[in-house]
Amino acid sequence: MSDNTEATLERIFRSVLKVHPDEDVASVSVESHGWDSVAHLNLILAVEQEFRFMMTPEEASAANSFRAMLDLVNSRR
Amino acid sequence: MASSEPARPTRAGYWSERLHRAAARLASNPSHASAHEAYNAGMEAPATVEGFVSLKCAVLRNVTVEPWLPELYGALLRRGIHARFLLGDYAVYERYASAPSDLGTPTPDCFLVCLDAGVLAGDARHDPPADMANAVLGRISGIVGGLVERTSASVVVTNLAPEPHPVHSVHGDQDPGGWPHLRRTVNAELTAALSAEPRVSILDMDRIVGEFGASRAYDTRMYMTAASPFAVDFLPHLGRAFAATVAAAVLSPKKCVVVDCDNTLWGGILGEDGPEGVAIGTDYPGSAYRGFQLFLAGLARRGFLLALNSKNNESDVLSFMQDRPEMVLRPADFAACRINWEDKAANLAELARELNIGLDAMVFIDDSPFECERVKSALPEVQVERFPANPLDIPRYVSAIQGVERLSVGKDDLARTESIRANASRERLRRGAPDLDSFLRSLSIRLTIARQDRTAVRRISELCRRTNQFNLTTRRYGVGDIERLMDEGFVYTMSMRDRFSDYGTIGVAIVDTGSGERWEIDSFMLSCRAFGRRVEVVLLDALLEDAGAAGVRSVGARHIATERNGMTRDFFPEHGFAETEASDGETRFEIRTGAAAGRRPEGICEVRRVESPE
Repeated sequence: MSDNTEATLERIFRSVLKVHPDEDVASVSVESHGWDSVAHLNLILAVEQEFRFMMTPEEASAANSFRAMLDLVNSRR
Repeated sequence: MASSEPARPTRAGYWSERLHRAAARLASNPSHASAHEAYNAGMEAPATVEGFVSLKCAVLRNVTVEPWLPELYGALLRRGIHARFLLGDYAVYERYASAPSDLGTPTPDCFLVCLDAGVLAGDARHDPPADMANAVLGRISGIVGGLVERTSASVVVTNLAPEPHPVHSVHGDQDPGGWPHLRRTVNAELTAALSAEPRVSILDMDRIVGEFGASRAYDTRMYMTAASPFAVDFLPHLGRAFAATVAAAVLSPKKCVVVDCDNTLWGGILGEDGPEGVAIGTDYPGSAYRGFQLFLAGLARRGFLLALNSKNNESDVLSFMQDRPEMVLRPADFAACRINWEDKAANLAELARELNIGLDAMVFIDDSPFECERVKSALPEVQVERFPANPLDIPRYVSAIQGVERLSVGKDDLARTESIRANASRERLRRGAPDLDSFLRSLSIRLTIARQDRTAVRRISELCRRTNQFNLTTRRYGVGDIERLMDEGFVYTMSMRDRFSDYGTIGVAIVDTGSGERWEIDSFMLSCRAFGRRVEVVLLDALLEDAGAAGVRSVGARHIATERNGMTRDFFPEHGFAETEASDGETRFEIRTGAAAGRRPEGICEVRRVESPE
């Protein structure tokens, strides 16, 4: 379950944030190039749709790295 | 992220295959992430990709639409359109109407104007002043009007969506001066105001939100925190609606819907169940099939041809269709029929020949998986739509058929349909005539040649986009381009009728008048429906006569070879033009005015000239 979640989340990050195939997605955070407010919005929408839950504004704001988003998804499943 | 640019593949067909794969993946997994994958592939691809229609689309918005774009792109991709989006700044969206070039040059092919009612009407909608509907309508009309006036692009504008969470709604239902009613007034008046403008289409947010369900369509949280009004699950639905409107504006519509009979036009099998045993009527399940017939009748009213392709005894089917009172469609509603026991793919090919239309202009509807697969494999150009086995699925099926959307129906659309139907009668006459001249004389052809007919710009653009065989330069002009060419030179149209039907506009010639001493024929084309009548020479001579009368010394022309216009290679030399230059598939010609004019081929009994008709 957890491996599946991580793989699915990785696919979302790569497609929405255009993470290069050679780059380690686990190191991606809001500080990374390309993660702007629009990308953040798209990321939240894609994650919520895929895992069928809704984040509060505070949760969405705190989900500022791949690792933080993975922790959030795991906590809601 | 995106730290190094990937090498750009150059293999022929690479991008076409990749975009087709992306469209297929999106169809099987329609998630926001999949839409992003398709969108990313599209943004990486060159602007022009083989097998896709290119579209440069600028978006003017007063709300956050960025999450829409992957869904819009994906929906367009699935219709064979590869789009590039230019996004305007939402703080100054109205400015672009007066300065469209601020969005980049060259001008986009299409503008999408996305307007959020809450932003547009502001707090005033809670206590609307008397002139509020007019004020809002004026702002929208100002944006659309500015784009129409200053560009040649198509414009798709959203009307005002319902409020996600209406307040005081019980009172609002009763109050004709309240915002809910005023919003609907704006939408109705917007439709009325823009219906005469051929380049403008409305995306009806009332319908689109209503189809999906208003309670599910919005994401209040995202609206309040990011000015993004719609829920992610609604975006594919919005994308499909947008793509349907854009496709109707930029793609050639299908011309003919070919249907099976048993378990398609009616429920059951006529040959086995008998006339009393099949289902058609006002009670279920016959009502579902009757609904499908009403849908087909609507298509016929909007200029589509209907044809039958059924494995049955012809006399059984025709007498049933004629006699059964509950039938909506009668044999006379079908332009052509193949009711026999032959292969349906072979029947379709014969129908295309009889109607003189391409296989790619046909939609084939049949409930049999075998017949659908047979046609798909034998005739891949034909759009095959398998009819549902369950009658309850018919309404949803009907609403999803692609290629039969039209933004408007002009008199030429209807005339063209009638003309194709009449061709069957004409063909019978031709086969019985002793020679071509006798046949042409028997037709009593009457031509009208108009110059600068601004009422026909949509039809002219359509001919430019659709004519392949008799098209000397194959330049694809949009409506806005035609208007510009009329401002800068002359655009001629030729319409034709004979004793069987009115063909509508069947010929176009576009002339660049340059400095006035020499004209250049930019485009010259003839609809395939008018082939073999020798009428093209009349259009050419009208143009040459005008040139002579205007003091023009010579007229230039060119033939640009394509895979499909070989029949026109000798057209200019056969009519007195001298070749002056030839290179890379393009041949240039010249003729001195007065060398050829005023000819009237056999069978043409009247030629009428009209200038700037209203």
